[in-house]
Amino acid sequence: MDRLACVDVPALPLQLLLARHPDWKRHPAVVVERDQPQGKILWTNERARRRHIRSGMRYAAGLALAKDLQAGTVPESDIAEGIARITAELRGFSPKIEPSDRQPGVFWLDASGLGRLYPSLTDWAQRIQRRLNRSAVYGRVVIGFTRFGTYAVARAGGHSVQLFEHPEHERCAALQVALECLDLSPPLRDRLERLGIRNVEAFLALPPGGVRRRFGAETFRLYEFARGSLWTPLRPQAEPVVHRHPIQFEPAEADVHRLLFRAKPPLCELLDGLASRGEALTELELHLTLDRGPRHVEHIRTAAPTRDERQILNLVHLRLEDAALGAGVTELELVLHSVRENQEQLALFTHEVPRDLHAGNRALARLRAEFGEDSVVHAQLAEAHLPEASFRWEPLEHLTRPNPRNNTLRPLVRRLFARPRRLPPRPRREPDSWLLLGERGGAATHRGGPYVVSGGWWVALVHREYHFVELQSGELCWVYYDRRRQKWLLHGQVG
Amino acid sequence: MSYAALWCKSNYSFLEGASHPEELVEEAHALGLRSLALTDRDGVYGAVRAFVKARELGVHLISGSQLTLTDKSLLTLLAMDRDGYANLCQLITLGRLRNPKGECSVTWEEVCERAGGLIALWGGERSLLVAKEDPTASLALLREAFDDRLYALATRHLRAAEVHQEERLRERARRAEIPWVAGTEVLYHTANRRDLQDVLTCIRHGVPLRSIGRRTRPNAEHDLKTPRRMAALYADAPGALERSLEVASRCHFSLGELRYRYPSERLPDGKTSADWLRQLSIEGARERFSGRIPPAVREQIDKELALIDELDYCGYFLTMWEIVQFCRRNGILCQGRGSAANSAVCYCLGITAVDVSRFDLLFERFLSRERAEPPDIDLDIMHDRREEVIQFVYAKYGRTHAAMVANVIRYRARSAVREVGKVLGFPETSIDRLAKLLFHYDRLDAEPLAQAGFSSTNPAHAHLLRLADEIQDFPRHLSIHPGGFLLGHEPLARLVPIENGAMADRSVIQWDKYDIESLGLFKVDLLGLGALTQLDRAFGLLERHYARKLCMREIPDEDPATFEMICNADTVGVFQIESRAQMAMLPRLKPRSYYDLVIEVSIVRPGPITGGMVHPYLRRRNGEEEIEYPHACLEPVLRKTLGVPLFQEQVMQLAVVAADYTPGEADQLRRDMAAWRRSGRIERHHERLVNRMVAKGIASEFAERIFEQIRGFGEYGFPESHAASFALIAYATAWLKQHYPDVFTCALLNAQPMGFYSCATIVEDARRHGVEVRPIDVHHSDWDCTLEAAPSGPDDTASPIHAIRMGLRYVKGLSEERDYAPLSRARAEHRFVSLDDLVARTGLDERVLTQLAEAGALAGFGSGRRGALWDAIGQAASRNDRLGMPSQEVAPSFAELSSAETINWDVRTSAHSTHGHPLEPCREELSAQGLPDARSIAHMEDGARVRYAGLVICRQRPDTASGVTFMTLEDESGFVNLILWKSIFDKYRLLAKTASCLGVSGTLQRQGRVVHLIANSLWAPQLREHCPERVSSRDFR
Repeated sequence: MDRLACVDVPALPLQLLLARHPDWKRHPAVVVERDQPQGKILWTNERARRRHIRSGMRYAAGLALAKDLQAGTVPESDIAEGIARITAELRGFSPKIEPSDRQPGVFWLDASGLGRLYPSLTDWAQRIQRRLNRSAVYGRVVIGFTRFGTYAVARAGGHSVQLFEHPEHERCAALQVALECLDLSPPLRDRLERLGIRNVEAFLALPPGGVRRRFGAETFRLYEFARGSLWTPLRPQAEPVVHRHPIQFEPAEADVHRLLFRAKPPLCELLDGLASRGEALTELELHLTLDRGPRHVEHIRTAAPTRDERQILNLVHLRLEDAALGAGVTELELVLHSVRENQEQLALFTHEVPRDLHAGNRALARLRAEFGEDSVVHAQLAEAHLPEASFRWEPLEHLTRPNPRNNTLRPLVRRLFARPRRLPPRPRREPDSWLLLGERGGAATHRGGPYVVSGGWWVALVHREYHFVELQSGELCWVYYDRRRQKWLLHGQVG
Repeated sequence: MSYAALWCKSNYSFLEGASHPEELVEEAHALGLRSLALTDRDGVYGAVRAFVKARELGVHLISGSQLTLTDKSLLTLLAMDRDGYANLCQLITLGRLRNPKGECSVTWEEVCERAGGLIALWGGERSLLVAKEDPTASLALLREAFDDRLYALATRHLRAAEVHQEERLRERARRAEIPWVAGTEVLYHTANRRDLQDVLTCIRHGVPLRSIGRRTRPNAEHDLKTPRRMAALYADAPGALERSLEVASRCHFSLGELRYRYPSERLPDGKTSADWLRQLSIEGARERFSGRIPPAVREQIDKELALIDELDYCGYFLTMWEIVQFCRRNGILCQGRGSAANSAVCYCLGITAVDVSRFDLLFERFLSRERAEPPDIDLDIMHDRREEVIQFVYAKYGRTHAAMVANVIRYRARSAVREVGKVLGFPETSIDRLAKLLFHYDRLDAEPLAQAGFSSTNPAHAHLLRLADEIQDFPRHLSIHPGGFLLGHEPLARLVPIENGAMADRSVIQWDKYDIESLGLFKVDLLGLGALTQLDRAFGLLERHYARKLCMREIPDEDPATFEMICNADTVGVFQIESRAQMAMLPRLKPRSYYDLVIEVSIVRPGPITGGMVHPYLRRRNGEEEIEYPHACLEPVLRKTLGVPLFQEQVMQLAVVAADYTPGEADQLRRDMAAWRRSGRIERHHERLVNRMVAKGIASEFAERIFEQIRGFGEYGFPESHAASFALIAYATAWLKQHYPDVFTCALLNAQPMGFYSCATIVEDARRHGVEVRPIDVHHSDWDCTLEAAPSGPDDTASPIHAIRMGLRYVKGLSEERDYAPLSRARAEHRFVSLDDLVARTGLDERVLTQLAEAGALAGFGSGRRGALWDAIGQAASRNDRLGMPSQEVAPSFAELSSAETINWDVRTSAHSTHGHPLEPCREELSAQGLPDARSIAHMEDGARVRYAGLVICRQRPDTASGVTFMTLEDESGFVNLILWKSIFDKYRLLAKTASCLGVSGTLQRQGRVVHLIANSLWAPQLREHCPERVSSRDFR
């Protein structure tokens, strides 16, 4: 008979939250839907449950029961990442793993045919448990025969590892499991509790038609599932396919051309593989193991999804030529990231414009390949008072067509320094003959200002008094006096 | 060189200005500024406060406002004269009434139509004059309407962008030949408030500081600047700065000029108001005194009428008479309260109910020539019909001449912490945790922060502490006063702007009751009083079930049985004497007459308590101390209270007799008493009072004690007349409780929410008094609670002959209109034969059906609560079944609820249980732990060490108690009053503030029949078998 195991990592999102806030373990703690008093409680720890705080309550209601109730949100992405991490851990124990798509932290594993690999199923389960512990999550493993049986017993708590030798034993244990352990929806859980239905056995004693009529198809599915009249096969999650190819070099290779020459055939092979799946390359990772020193990784992005071998090799060439590896390469691993190919037939009907954006984007990709990922950026305005915070550099992914506005006022171009430059102190008396830029620019002749920018008191107080200072040379400097640091600094120049 | 601050916004520019109006005026005075214009955004909310302070300091206050135009640009208007002020108020009213609450906008045309008497200052970042767009059209309109009263306002706040804006403004002003004036936009009186202004901006925009971006001001240059700093700022244009003085000098208007006329009444037969009032008063007196008006009363009426006529207040009294007549005609119970009960005229007009022939009441407390300010008549109206009276007033005077007084909602500890915390970026759940540890008026300090789990090392906490403290008392938004009306002969919008209230059919003025009082305007107070609703319901029940027609005046006087009950502190639900403190006082004071009740009502007040008058009075009353008077001249004043002053009137009379105050001065003393906390004005009386009393031969110790009591009265001392009015209602409710406890309880339950206790406590009290309380049942319950025949017949006079049937109003989540109405209609047709029948004929939805099932209201169908719940869910589901197939399912059997579960289900669904107290099922377990019940504790010896557990039904932390917290715990046998010293409260703050079922170890303190448990420690009772459902407590300050 096939054996099935359920690995239950109880309240996984809460475990993730408590890993972020270890001091909360001493308090009742919950995960909430959103960080607001009216946010719904989704998962609770034992201390919270002891204070009668349950999922489905609002945080404010929970707070009325435990004034030291700690709460936080856990983004979906973090939960998905946690599930993926645990799934990856479990892959070492079974080829077939199905993470529950409804309850994060529940995994079913195919436990059949492991007799030759492990001394016993209990030993296998204990190894799983120890691996989970090493990953700083707590979980229970129940080995039995049915999905519901193993799941229910795992949720009921008790031993961290449990093995059922006979299906009937599993069924008996499952019938005694309290419904509140089963992650029912809070309204259903409360309603059944009010009816005095507290465990699986009492739940199954309800008439099937009555359950379906009152609680809907979803609950009826659970009912059928618990009764054993519903069987679904294990749907193992497929292992993600990674397009990668390692190339060994003996002896270590330091010449870029020879590296490229060796990399070309496997790259073409990988690109052919992509083509067979209707995919195109978006990013290429080069994992370089060096003769001396640490492992080196280069990321190369293409201007657009492509399988153009020449273009890709060109980008690799530019990057490797510029990368100061400092040692020979003993292994080069090519890792490809791809997307479904976009059929651009519609492009045939578009009007041809004089500017070739594709060419522009390809040029930018070459720049990125040669000078690094952060080399192509554009300025975006930001809502802030401090000059350096009033814009930010953002990577420019793709060029767009320019859309110039009619601006009658010709703006003064102000060049900001990435780091303001320290200036000599200003003489107290006027005319001050202040030599901002030394002898080169001459003394200050005119000064406009001050224009005060202050604030940020909630993080670090800033108080700057800006001035425009014209020098004898005609240069116009943009300087400020930092009142807190009592220093003059040159922030930019106008012109 | 000096200047005038012409564009200042206080914190009445809600969530923008960061200083109180008084602070701006004080700072202007300190800086030597002669003039300051208060120009709050779209309103004159802070004008009166600023005016009072400016009058006190001699600062020239200019009234104005920054108006928002429909194109979102701004224009500041200053009132030059009374007409200008009226135009300003009318403009704001126009802009406010056409917009939803909180918004305002006027058109350029409307501004120009009402330009008379106003100066327009056009400038600032959001004005059209500095905008890139061409303002020619608006400029032409304003130029024509305002002529030489239009100024361009240049503002400098050391911002680079202002340079271009000012260039543009000056160029346009030059071309249009408008003079330009220099200024700044003042948002706070000192730059220290800049942080708070940032926080207010964040609150207004609903975003935290980290994402506020450029919506806050870039620097702290919006303070009120010294003349020297302003001169430096405008060193290049001294003429423009000087022009601010010229503008200020053109504004002569002061709020002190407001002349107010009460609306005239339409009178029959061409009578004057005075004639008509006299006629009504005499007719009323004849009715009150059965045709034989005592000469003293007649003399008093004549005296009062003469003064009322002289002061031209007849119209006000006639209005009140009309309102009372409206109430009578429509069967709405009402009664005047407060100082109006000092007036024989008010008594004869039926406004008040205190018999003036029985009391030596001080008319000057109500009205005096010297005071020359309007009398204050507060009318209590049964609370569930007050809206009818409010709409009557609107209908009679019209929306233009009647509007409700505002109530300014201010930041208190909890709201301050919540909003500032949110702005500083704390997780809202953490902030909620902290806020719930605070009392309403608490100051935030480090301790609750630590208790809420905040780390003291986080620098943001220092900001939270500082800013939450600073923002307290700041206006948050405007609400409506519970019942205050301003009525005017001329349209009110010429006096003060009117705006829409949040409630439908309500318009509200921009001033609150303190502003009205400061300006000496007439206010009509129509207040809702639950006790009157209770009495009205009780009289109805008496007539229906006992065939006894009764009204307030017909309740038998001085009933010994009633006073016996009162002396035993058996007063749950009795008006005014039901609180924990009153109950503790009753066995000591032992009221035996109506006047004792008047004293009882007055004595448990902060005034007498902080004045140290309670214990001397009790000792004298109990014959433990000799009655003596500090001076023979004071005997007539203090005789009725055994030589101890307890009432406001006595304090005033003391000042007159012992310190030679004129009646007007005495009244000023009263007003200063009421205001001392805000202004400290009471101190100016100290020397005068004490010195004059000592000069008369009164011991300085007594004189000082009197002064202390005067201070105490500032914290809500009662006037005798007010206490007398309340004592009437207290006696009436007590008499009902003694003689008709079934009627009393039923009426009280139907008048909820009101009073000190929750319905669970009221039901428990009734059960302890032998009244049968029956559960909610869809077959028998009406919306309200009703009386039903009880098994014991009318022969058994010791017990009431009716049981109370709880009403469906107590089932949580039920609506009278939506749910009860169809149920009532269907039931009237014929009795429900089954749940199917009920569902089919009422159409109630699943939520209501399950709520009824859980509350036990479907018990009549005989399937137990769980069975009823199963059926109710099934019935509701069947209705959604489109095929409508009949169900053939076999009903499963469910476990019966235990008694503890029954009670818990009751409490959860209807906040009370007729099946027992939530602790009743736990008694065995509690006894096993050695924990006694409340009845046993009541019989323990003084000094006994006690461990006790009960449900917290009330928490109280009065200001007068120096941090002591009082709690009332309840179990199935009664109450236990708990005293927590400050150190104990602080140590167990979390439990004390939040526990519903609380354990306490302490020492018993007994004084006669008064028992208190002094807590030494608090703990959470360990109940394993049954856990009582959480009950909500009523917490008071």
